[in-house]
Amino acid sequence: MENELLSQLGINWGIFLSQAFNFAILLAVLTFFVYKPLIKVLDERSKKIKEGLDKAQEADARLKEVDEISKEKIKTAEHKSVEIIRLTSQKAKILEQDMMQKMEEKQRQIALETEKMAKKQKEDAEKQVLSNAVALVRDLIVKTVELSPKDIDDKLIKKAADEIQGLRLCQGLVRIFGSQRCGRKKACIRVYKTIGKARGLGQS
Amino acid sequence: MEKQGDLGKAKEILEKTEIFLAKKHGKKAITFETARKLTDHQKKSFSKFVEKGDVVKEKINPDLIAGIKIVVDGNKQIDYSMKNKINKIFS
Repeated sequence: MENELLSQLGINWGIFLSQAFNFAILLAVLTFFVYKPLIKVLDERSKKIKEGLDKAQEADARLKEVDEISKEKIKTAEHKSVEIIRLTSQKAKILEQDMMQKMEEKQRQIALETEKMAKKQKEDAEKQVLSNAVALVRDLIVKTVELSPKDIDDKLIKKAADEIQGLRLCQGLVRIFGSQRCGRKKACIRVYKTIGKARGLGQS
Repeated sequence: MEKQGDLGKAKEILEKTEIFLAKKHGKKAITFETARKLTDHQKKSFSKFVEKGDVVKEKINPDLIAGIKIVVDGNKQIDYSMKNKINKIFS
């Protein structure tokens, strides 16, 4: 019955078995030569893809890390730049103050020097004027003397002679009275004149 | 003196020697320095002052302008010259 059913369905056990055997061979061949290499290729590919994805993830993480580092560095650089600007500004202010002080000092020095120079010039001019005046007066006296030199010579020589006489007299008085005044010329002359007048001598 | 190169100081040495000799003999070395030559009358004014044996010298120095400068023994001096008077006025 069973055989009839199979024959009615067109199934022949011999053909079926041979076809099954063929199929098994084909399956084995396909499994061995196609399926396994294909699976292997697919596995490798999926592995590569996974590796690629992992690397991409890693790269992304690194990128984020780098980004954070760069942000951190930018922040630090900004802080540093602000600090540098602040320091530079402070330095500039100090430098400015220093320069101002120096400039003021220099101005003071220049003013002092100018004042000194002006004073010196004034003094020099005064000295020059005085010197010229003295020279002028001297020349005037010389010219006046040259008008009648003999009279002036006589008077001066007489004065000199009188002084010598007076001194000699004083020395005599010192010897007699032991006076200490002979060392003072003016005092001696006074003594001489007093005594000279009394004797009718020593008209000056 | 020539060997030691002191010939330039000969005049000075001579003057010092004269003063020294005069002093040694108890006399004076007197120099009358005037702008012009002394007249006899002027010389007479000093006759009492000058003793016999004193070394007397007369020197003409126009720089004095007028008057007289008397130097005794090279160190004591009486200056009655116009130059001295002018200097005193302007000193």
